This record gives sequence, structure tokens and C-alpha cells, in this order.
Amino acid sequence: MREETTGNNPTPLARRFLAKCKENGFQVAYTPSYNDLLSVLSEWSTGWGVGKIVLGGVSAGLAERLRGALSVQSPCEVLGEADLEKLGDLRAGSLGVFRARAGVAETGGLVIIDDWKANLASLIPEYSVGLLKESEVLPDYWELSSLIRKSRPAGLAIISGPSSTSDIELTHVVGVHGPVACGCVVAGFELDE
Amino acid sequence: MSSMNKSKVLQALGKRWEVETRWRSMLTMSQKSRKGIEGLGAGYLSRLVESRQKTVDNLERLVALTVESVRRAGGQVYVAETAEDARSYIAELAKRRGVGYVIKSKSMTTEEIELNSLLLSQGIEVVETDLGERLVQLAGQRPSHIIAPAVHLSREEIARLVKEKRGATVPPRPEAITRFFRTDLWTSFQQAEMGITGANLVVAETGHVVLVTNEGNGRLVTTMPRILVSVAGVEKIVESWEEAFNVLRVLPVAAVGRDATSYITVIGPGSMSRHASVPEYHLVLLNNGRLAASRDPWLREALRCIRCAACLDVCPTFRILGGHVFGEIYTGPMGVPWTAITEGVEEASKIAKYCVSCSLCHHACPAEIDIPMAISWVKHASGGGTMRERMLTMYELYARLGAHLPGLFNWLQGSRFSRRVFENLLGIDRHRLMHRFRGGSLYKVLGEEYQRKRSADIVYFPDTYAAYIDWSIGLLTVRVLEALGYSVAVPKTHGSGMPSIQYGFLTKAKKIAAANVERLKDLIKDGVKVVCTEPTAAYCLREAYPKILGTPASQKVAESTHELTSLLAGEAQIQPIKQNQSSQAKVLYHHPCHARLISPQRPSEKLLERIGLSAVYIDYGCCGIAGTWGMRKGAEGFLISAEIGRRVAELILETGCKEIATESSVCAQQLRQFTGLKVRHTIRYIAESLGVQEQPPRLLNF
Repeated sequence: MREETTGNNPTPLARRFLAKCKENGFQVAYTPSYNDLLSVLSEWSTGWGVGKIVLGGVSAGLAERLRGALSVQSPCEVLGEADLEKLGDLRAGSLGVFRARAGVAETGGLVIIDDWKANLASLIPEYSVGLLKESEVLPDYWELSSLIRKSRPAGLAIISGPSSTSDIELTHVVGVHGPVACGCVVAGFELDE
Repeated sequence: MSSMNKSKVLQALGKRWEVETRWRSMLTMSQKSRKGIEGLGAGYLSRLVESRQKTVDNLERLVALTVESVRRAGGQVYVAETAEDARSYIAELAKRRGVGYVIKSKSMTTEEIELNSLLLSQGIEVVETDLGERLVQLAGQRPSHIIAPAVHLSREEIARLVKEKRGATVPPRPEAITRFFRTDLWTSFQQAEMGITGANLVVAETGHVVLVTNEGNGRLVTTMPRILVSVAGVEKIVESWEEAFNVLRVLPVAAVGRDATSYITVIGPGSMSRHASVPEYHLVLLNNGRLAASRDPWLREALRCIRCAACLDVCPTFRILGGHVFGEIYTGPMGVPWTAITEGVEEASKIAKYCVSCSLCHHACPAEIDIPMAISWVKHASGGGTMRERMLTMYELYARLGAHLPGLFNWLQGSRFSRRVFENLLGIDRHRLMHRFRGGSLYKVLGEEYQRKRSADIVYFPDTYAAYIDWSIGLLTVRVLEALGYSVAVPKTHGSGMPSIQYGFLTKAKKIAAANVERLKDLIKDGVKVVCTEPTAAYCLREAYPKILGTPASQKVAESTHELTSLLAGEAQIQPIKQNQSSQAKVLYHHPCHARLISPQRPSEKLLERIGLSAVYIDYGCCGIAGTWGMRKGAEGFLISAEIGRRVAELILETGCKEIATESSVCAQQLRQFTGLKVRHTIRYIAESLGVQEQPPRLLNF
């Protein structure tokens, strides 16, 4: 059951989702407006020392606006087929911003559905941030089951924190093969312009 | 039936760092898992058991459904009957497509089919990409733990390995080593033509494979190459997405106490790849004994396994010896039935010896698999235990003789010379502290009247210790129950027969169980309860006998059986001990392994609190004696038992408690020996609170 957007404050479901994401190691934010989203992305990328930003699976309108605004700070590009041979360039010092299609509040996970660009942007760069609309937050896996049955995706990824391992003496280390740090933004406005 | 590999055990015990690290790590992981499972809610667990059993009951139908779904989605499926079939299919495919470089994500099933060696023999480079798997691959070893494959390697060893095998100098720090492999393995991800994954689940309704990972290598393996192959045992199939998500909800909680792992990746034909979608997808479904196991009454439950490793983390011998001793491809407790399924009982019997039948794995298993009984069956099916183990099953005869001749037996047990003889003849380690005999039996002390009673509220089952070694616990139990207004019958029964179960002499165990059930069944009409003061006895009556006998009478006895303290927990008459009495102190409560299955809520601890004591509980798991196993000579038992006992004692002594309360006579033996503290049966505290006098007053053992 999806909850409706309430304006400047997140719905209880979105709050629960963000709290769980935080527990999982995400940086989290609720952004009621586009300008808020921009300042969050700008602040996080500065904090991480990001040198390059790539956008994956973000709608053309939003990508255009973000590219224009974020390029002032760091080079910002939309991931395309031409970049596939240069994925290695994204491994260090870059941020991938991707569009998630759902969030799971009970376990704190961002869901990518059938979107190879979002998949790459969430996986290859050193840092990643997932964006989703408040109305896309689902309470639990049960709701996601229904969504899968309805949409019959070919592939799906649920991201519930930074890439991590405890394989060496059970010491927790982040950033093994995927991002070292990641963020999650719930937007209280229409993302896909 | 082979015995323990003593040289392997001694070698493992000699690696002090490894033993210490593993014990502490497994202890922490099991505590997190237990806490997580307790917070999860019963709905998830009952649904998990139900859906996993549904898979076992419908395996062939679900295989057919999966094949249909994958083909409909555009993928290719191969149902491999054997390991050989599976690896040949993949090797042939690689050959046909001209693949020279393969990357793999973590997969036990590909270990099972020994895929890497075949690919390597064809000149194909194979790179494991899970960090732990990569480390053991570089070390030329096999994983020592399902979810922590390289837990046996120290950071220094790993840094040396990197230098030797990859020619790089990295500081011996986990962060630096991880950073190195991030870069080093990226080259492999870019180069690889084929990606091979295992599967945590296969969802029949849509044909998807689900991978549960933390590092991100699983995602890269399914994203970068042009050919993708998933290998899954057929038991990994679930019918629907609801069932899949129920498993996904429980798995990380049971494994590491977390609600979610970093990544869940769902793949199939056309799933997300850097090529927009995976150009070529193959699913290899592996039988290799699974379908036969689904029809085997002793092995079928093991097919419910979700590979969370909770059973490994609680296992007392696994914590000390690790998966290179206690395991082959599949390690630890679940490794035994799984080796039996995939390689046969003879192979499984080689590792079954390391199971001490404490049953903690059964308690920890979210899929409620009775692993210890499956292991007992493996021991039985491979010919039963050794001659010495057969002699240990005669412990009741020894106890009866001791009851007749206490002076002689106590002297023999205290004499250095006779202990050496015992060690050489019976294999009882001379360093093991033994219980002293009080002399006489409970049946004699109580008199014929209690044995002949045909009608009573409670039937007391004393087991060997309270019947023949120290009857004072039995007598006190009867007096306490009578003080609470119950009439008690104490029919003459055999001991529970646990050593026969433990060492795989199931024919003998069946005879003992049948005799005890026969003796008890007519006495438990109209809601009469069978009560045990020894948790192992309650475990046998409640859990083991119905499985061994499978009769309505054994089921009826099982349903009527209670541990004494769970019965007493409902008694309002039990009140605080008066201020001037002796035991107003902090007492450590030790929860015996078998009591965890029977009384998981720790009623004894609550009773101790209720009578005014400050009960301290630590979830350290098994104290390490496991009945007669911890009494066995050197590497066959005592040395491993002592490793556990010393560590448990350290934790207990840190609490500052001066006394330990428990119900198990053998746990008491272990705890007395390694803590040096006084250990008392919980009934002694309860008796004190009720003003029931101890007769005789002298504490002999516990």
C-alpha cells in the first residue's frame, strides 16, 4: 500500500524507510523540493570529495537539470552506451546518481528494476546515491512481491547499504567491489519531469 | 565407521590464534543471530519451515515449473542428474563459446561439483571474486566456513599471500587488503567472458535466480560478462515470490543478525547487464542426490537448509576445529547430512564423528532441521561407532555397579593408576573430573511403593545420574513435588540411552526407547505428566524417541514429557528464600544444550529470580562436555572439551558469581572442573525456598 505525499514532511512510512536505511549505513535525506535535492547532492558530493558525477536511469528532464546545476561543482554526465568501455574511470572519486523504482521500509532497501543504467550507476562508482519518490516506498517485501508479479521484470537489485565485507578476521570493511559509501534521497516532489 | 582424525585435531588445536579467533567470532555471530531471530517474530519462521517443506514435498513438480518459466523468459535450462553432468555442461558451453576467462561469485554448489578444477584443466582461467573465496583460492585451500570462507587466515598470512601470489606489497590491515583486491579484481571483471553464480533461491513462478551478497561481486559477475551461468541445487527452488521474500527476510537475520545484506540480486534471461541485458543465460539445476534425499526419512529435512550457517556458529566442536577438520565441501553440522546427500553416508561418516549431539544446531536452525538426529543416522548407517564408543553406551551398567560398590568405584576414580587403566581400556581421559557415587539407588531409597504406583499426578523419570550415581537429586525432586501437593510415581526405567543415539547405535537406542516408552505409556493417562530432572532425558523422551520409534505411544510420551523446572515455573507456592538462609547471592545460571530445545524460555532462571536470587545468564552456548564425549581420551574428546571449558569458565568467572545453578549432571562436571566453583542442581535452590530439607545434606557432586 503506497502512502501519499504530505508536503514538507515525510510520511510515517517514508520516515521509517529512511531510518532503516540510515541503520544500514546510508546517508539519508528527505527533500521536499528540487532545490533541496540539489543542495543535498551538492553537500554529499563535496563531503565525499567527488571529482565526477554520472547519472543513471534518471529521467531526461531531471538529468538535464541536475547536469546543469551539478556541473558547476564537478563534471556531471549522463551514463550512456558510449561510456561502457570507460567504466573503469568511475571506480575512484566518482559518484553515481541513480533512480530507484521502489524502497522497502521494513529492511531499508532501494530497488532497481530492469534498468541497466541505474544498475551500473549504483554499482561501479566509488559513491552512489539513489533517488526515489515518497510514494514509491513500500512497507515490506510482501508489497514488492506483488509489484514483481505485476511488472514481471527481467532483473532486479535491492541495495541495502554500502558494499561491505567481514572476510578478513571478521573486521567490517566497506567498499569491496561496489560503493564505499552511499546515500538515499526520498523526494517529496515529482522526480520524473 | 571411522574414528576422529586425531592428527588433524591436534594440528587444528596447535593453531592457537586460529582457535581463539574462530571461537570468539562464532560466539559473537551466534549471539547476534539468536538475538535477531528472537526479534523476528514467529510468523516468518513458521512460514519458512512450511515453504521449505513444501519444496521438499514437491521437488519434481517445482523443477518442471522452473524449467518452463526460464525457457519462457528466453533462457536455457539444464537439469543435471550428477555433479559430473553439471560440470561437463558448463565446461562444454565454455568450450563452444571460446571462453578463456571465467569469473565466479560465491557458490557452494560449484564447490560441490568441483567445477573449477575441470575448467582449469581445459585451460580456462577461473577467478573467484568473493574476497574470502579469492583468498582461499590463492592459498590453494578450500573454504573453512560457508559465509566466512577465510576466517582461518590472519591478516599477516593474507598480506604474505598477496605478496607471493599477486606480487604486491600491502600492509597487513583489512582495509588496505580490501582496497588492493578492489583494484586487482576489477581487471578480472572487465576481462571475463563468462560469469558463474550460485543461487540462494530460484523462484519457480518466474524462473528468476536470487543472490544474497554483501560485497557487490555477485552484482558485477552478473553485470559484466556476456554469458551468465547460474548453478543451483534443486532444493533452492521456491514456488512463489512471497515464499522467496520470506526466506530473504530470515536468511540475513539467522546468518549475522541483520535485517538485510547489502545486496539482493535477481537475475534471469534478459536481466540487467552492462550489455543492457544479459545476452546469454543458462540455469543449471542440480539433482546429485537431492531427489532421492527428498524421499529419505532421515535426510529429507536437511533439504530445508537455507545455508545461513547458524548451525556452524553454535557448534562447540566447529568453533574449536573449524571447517577444515569438521567438513569436506559442506562443513559443520549441516555438512554431515549434506555430504550424505551429495556423496553418500560413508563420506559423511568421516565428519559425523565431530558432532557431539549437543543439539544446539537444531535449536539455532531457522528451518527447524533436526540435524543431530540426521547425523546419528549417518553414524548408524555407516556401521555405528567404534568399539570404545560401544563400551560408552554401557554407562548405565557402570553406574549400577558404582551404586552397589561406591567405595571401590570412588577409589578407582581417584587412583592415578586405575585412571590410566581406564584411559587405556575404556578411553576415559585421566584428567576428566568424575562424579562420585553416593551408594545405593533412588529406587531403593524411595522403596517399592513408588515403583508400583499405577496412578499418580506425575511420573518421575530420573535417568542414570539421579537413579544410580547420586540419588539425592531424585529424592529431593520427589519431596518437592509432594510438598507442592502432587502424587509421584517413580517406575523403574532404563537411562535415556543418549550415548547410543550420540554414537550412532540406533538399534540399541531403539530397544532402550521402546522399553522406556512401554514402561511409561500406561502411566500417563488423563493428563499425567512425565517429569525429568536431567535435560538430556527430557530431550530423548520429547525429541529423539518419536523419531527413532515413530509409534503413537512414543508420541504420547513425548507430548507428556516436561523438564522439572518448566513444570515448577507455574507453581505460585514457590516464594523467596528467607533472608537468613545461605544462598542470597548472585548465581550464574547455565542453560544446558538439551534444555534449550525443551525449555527455550529458561524457566529455571526465572525460578531462581523468583526465590530471590540474582540469576546471571550468558549465552556462550555449549560448555563443551556433551555427555560421555568430553570424557574421552585426548584428541577424541577431552582436549577439545577442555578448550571449550576453559573459555566458558573465563566468561563465567568474569561475572563474579560464586555459584552455578544448572540441571545437567554432565554440564555440572565440566563447569566444576573448569571454573572451580560450586555447582548445584536448580532443584536444590527450589527445595530450600520451600523449606524441604536436603537428605542427606552433604553436596556430593552438584
